[in-house]
Amino acid sequence: MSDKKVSLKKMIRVGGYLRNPVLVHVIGICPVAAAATSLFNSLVLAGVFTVSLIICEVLASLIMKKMPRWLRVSIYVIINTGIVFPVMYYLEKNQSPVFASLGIYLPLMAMNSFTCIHSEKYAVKHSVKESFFDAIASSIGYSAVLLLVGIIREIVGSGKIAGFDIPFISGLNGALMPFGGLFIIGILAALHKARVIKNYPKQARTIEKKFTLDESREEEGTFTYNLKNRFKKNEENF
Amino acid sequence: MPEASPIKNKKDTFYKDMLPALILPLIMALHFYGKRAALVCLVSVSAAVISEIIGSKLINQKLRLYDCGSIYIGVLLALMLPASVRLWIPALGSVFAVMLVKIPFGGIYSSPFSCTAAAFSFLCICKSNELFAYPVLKIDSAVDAFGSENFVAGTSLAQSLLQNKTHGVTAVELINGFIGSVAGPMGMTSAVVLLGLLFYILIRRPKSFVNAISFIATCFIGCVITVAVDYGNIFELNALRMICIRFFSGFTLCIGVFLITEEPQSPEKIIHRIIYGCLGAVGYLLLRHFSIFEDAGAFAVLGINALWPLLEKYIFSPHKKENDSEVIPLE
Repeated sequence: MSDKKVSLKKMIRVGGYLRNPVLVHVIGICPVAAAATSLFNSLVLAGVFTVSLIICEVLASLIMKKMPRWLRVSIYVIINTGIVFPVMYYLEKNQSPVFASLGIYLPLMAMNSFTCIHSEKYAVKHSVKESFFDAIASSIGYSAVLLLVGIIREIVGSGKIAGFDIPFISGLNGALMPFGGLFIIGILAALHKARVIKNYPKQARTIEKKFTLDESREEEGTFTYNLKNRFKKNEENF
Repeated sequence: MPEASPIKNKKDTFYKDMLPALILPLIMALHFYGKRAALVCLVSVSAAVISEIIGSKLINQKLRLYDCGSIYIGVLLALMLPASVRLWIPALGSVFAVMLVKIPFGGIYSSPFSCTAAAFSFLCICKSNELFAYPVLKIDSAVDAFGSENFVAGTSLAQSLLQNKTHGVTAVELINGFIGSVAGPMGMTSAVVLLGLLFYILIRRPKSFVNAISFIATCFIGCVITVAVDYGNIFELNALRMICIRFFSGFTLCIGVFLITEEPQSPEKIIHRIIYGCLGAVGYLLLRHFSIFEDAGAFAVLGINALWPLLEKYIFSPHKKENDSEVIPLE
C-alpha cells in the first residue's frame, strides 16, 4: 500500500467499524468483558490502550522491521509495561476507586495480545504513517466498544451513569460480572453484524477473515504447519 | 452429527408433553397464593411469548410458538419463584431465557442448556435476596410484594436447614411441608404433587423418567448418608425427620421432575441417562453445602448440561474416538 492511498477516514471505517477488533475479530476482550464495568473504568482502559497501541505500532514500523520476531514481541511488552505502570502508580497514589475496581486487569493490559498482533500483522510491513493511522483507527474501534460496554454495564449493573444514580433502575449484579460482559459483547456483535450486512453487503463477506499472524511465516515443522498439512492429506485421501 | 452433540430431533414433543404436568403445581400455587400467583405466571408467560415473537422477527426466523417451549419456560420459571416477587423479575427471567438461551442456539430443542435453569441462575445472581425471600403463607389473604411495608417473610424448610433450626420442626409442620403448606417457591413446595407427577412422566415420557428417578434416588441416598454421618443411627426419630427435611427442602423434587428430565440436553442411552441423573444429583448436593445461595440447584443443572457432552464424547463413547482417529490419522 502506498502512502498516497492512505486515508484516515477510510481506515477508521474499515479498521474501526467494519473490522472492529472486539466485535468482529474478538481480540483483546478480556479487559472489555471483565474490567469495563463503569464509564470511568472504560475511559482509563481506553486511554492506556490507545497510547500503548500508537507507540507500539509507530516504533514497530520505524525501527523494528529488521529485528527477529521473538525480540519484537518482547519489546512490545516492555513498551506496554512502561505505559501501564506510571498510570497504575498515579491511580494508586491518588487512592482512586478506579484502581481498586480495575484490579489485576490494568497491569494485564501490558500483555495485551491486541497490541502484539496488530504491530506484527500490520506495522512491521507498512510505513510509519500507515501504521499510525491503523493504530488510530483500531483504537477508536476498540475504545468505542469499551466505552459502550462500560456505559451499558454501569446502567444495568449499578443503576448509575458516570457515578450518578438513575432513578427507577435497579442494578442487576449479573451485568457487572464477566459473564454479563460477554453477553453484552455478544449482543453488540450480533447487532454490528446485522448492520454491516445491511449497509455493506459486499464487505460483509470478507470481514470475518481471521486476524492472525502472517501465515507465510509458518515454517515447516511448526505445530500449525503440521496440523494444516495433516488436514490437507486427510482430504486428499478421503 | 456426533452423538455427543446436544442438538436433538427438533420434532420432539417433550415440552408439549410436559406442559400438562405443570397444571397441578399451578393449581397448588393458585390455592396457596391466589391472584398473586396467577399474576406472576401471566407476566412470566407473556414476557416469554412476546420475547419469542420479537426475537424470531429480529433474526427472520420462523415463529416456533407451537413447540410450547416459551409457555413452558414462562410457567415453570414463575412456579420456581416466590409469590411475592416483584413482577419485573419473572419478566426479566423469561426474556433472558428466550432471547439469550433459546433463540441464539436455534430453538429450545437445540439449546445445550436448560432455558429455565439458565434464567433462574441469572436471577439468582442478580436478585438472590428477593428470590429466596418467601412470603409467609396466608391463605385467603393477598400476598404483599417484596419490599412493601406489609411484606412478611416466612421460613422455608431449606432456610430452617441452613439456620440449624430443624430440631424445632414438629411432625405437623413436616406434614405441612409434605403437602406444600409451607413458605417456599410458589409451585414447588408440595412434595405430594411432585412425586405424583413422576407417575405422569413414567407413562408419558418413560425415558425422561429414568433421569428423574436416578436424580431423586441419588439425592435421597445423599441425604441419608449425610444424616448418618451427623447422627450415627438413621433410625432415630430425629434422624428420620432430618432425612425428610433434607430431602423435601429446596428444589430437589422440582429439579428431578422438571429440569433434569429436559429431553434436548439428555443422553440417548438408558445407562447414560442414569449416570446423567446421578451426576446431576451429586453436583446438586455439593452445591447445596458449598454454595452461597440458599439453593443452587439450577447451577447444578447447567453444570451437568455443560459437562455431559464432554463426558459422552471422551469417556462414554470410546468407539467414536476410534472413528475420529480414522478420519484424522496420526502421522
